[in-house]
Amino acid sequence: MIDLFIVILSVIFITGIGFSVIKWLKLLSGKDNLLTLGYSYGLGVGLISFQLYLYSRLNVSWDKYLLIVPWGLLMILFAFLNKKRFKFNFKIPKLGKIQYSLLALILLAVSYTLLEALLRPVSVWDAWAIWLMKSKVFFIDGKIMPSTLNYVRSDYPLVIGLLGTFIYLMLGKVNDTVVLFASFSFYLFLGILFFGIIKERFGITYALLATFLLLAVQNLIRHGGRLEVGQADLALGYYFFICLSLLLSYLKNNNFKILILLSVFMGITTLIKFEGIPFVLVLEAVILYRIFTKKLYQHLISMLLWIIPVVDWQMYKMTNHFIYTYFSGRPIVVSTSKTINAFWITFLELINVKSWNLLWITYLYSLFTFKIFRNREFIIVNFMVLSQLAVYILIYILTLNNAPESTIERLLTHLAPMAMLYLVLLAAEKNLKTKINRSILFRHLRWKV
Amino acid sequence: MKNKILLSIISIWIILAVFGVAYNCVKSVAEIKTWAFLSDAQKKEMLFGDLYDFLVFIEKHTNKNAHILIFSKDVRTFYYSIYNLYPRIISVATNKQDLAKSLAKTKYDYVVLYDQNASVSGYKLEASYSSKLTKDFGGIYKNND
Repeated sequence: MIDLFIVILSVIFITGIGFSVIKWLKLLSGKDNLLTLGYSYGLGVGLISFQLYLYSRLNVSWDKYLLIVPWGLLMILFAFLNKKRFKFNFKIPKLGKIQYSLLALILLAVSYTLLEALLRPVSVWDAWAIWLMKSKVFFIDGKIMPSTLNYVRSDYPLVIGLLGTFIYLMLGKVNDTVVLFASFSFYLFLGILFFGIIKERFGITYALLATFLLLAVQNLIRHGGRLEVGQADLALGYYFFICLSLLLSYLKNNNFKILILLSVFMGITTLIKFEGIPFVLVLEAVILYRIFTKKLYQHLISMLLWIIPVVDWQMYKMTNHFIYTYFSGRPIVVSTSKTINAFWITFLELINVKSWNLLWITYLYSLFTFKIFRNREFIIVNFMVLSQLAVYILIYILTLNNAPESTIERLLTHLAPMAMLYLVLLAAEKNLKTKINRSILFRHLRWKV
Repeated sequence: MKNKILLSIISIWIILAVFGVAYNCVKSVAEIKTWAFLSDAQKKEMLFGDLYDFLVFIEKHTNKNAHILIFSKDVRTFYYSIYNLYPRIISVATNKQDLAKSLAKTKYDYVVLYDQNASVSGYKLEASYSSKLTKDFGGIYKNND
């Protein structure tokens, strides 16, 4: 119980770091606290991972106090400098019957996901063979050693592993049950962020309904707290969603500070899993298009914020002669049967109601029925979802030992929040929120949008 | 028409999601009954079976910084051993030729056989394992030097 308390405090601390940095540098000015909170955990995770990585590279000890004190001072300084301006005024709006019902459903979903995350030690292969393996070996070694990374046979980036290490350092020991609270937190903060974004644009009821539909997706529950918990896929889905939401924000007002925050998140995203790299490259292409068409050349400098960490990690792997790389175990082989299989299995997973409810079916229906290129937001969101899906299918086609049967559900987890955002935008554009209001389902509940 | 279909799909989606929450609540109660009152070791035994028990056995009978060769045909053994037994350094052999090659090339602190019979000259039996629940067996052999 004490261990769990320490882990919860650690997650609050990590979120506090992200929150302070965003507020202090006014990176999201004009956004409310709830929305800022949605981004804060993601930023905090990136910053503490960077801190551990930097300390290790500079041979600074991973002493608990050396890790906490700099951020603690930053938070105190931030609170002191902003004591007049900043208030913790999370206003609780007046809710109607249907809103309370939706809130209750969301809380139920979050509650059993949390409960199950803490019920068992890590059990899924990738979680202990890759992510928590690194957390454990870094914690025991007290630093990042290239020889250890070769020993555990993984050249995956380090952010998720280092998040676990940070938790273990705070605990002072390895506990592969309570550490899963940090994985669950990605589910929680994805929900908060999604709710915040939809609420800002379409109001609280619609936001509650959309958030409920997202958080009730069985595959997200599995990755947030059931047997798949502890992997990096839900985390990547959260970071993809963050990047997309910030991109849409940037395209709306060309705000340089938003671009700075987006670039930081792009850097973190590339260091979660390899799949983050193609996503970020496509995202950067969209940003560059905007920069050149609007002649915002001074914005080009923001690119350094994500390129430097990516290049540094690649250099680190090269200079330390990593033996086991992603492609060393997956040689390039193309065959017709593999190609057909890649498309077929992906399609079967998209229509798998048990895992995805009707999310992907609705998405596919809307793709083939409505004009998806009608407005800029639709184009951007669908471009990001479909280009990334195309990359995954291409990797299945090109590489050996990459079976879609066992991995496609994880890869779709990356894309689900973005696909959900598209459906929310589409439904709002079609004014379906008002129609749902009048439908049989809600007629008796007097839902006011 | 297109909008009506979309609306219908979303309505069905909402209904399914509500049922999903109810189903998950019931399932969680069952999961709590199964897992909540077990110790950490019992939970790991349930998840990983004899392999977990066997790794605890190895942990008990080997030094912390030992270099151990494990002979097992199950690929999971290697990764799960690395995870559980760190900082011990684990190497693995999955067949008898592998085992012979590895023994000829490297001097290990221990050689561990899991569900396999083989002769390991230069090493003497330190401890034997047999599962309480299944037919799994194993042995830890220590370097004579």
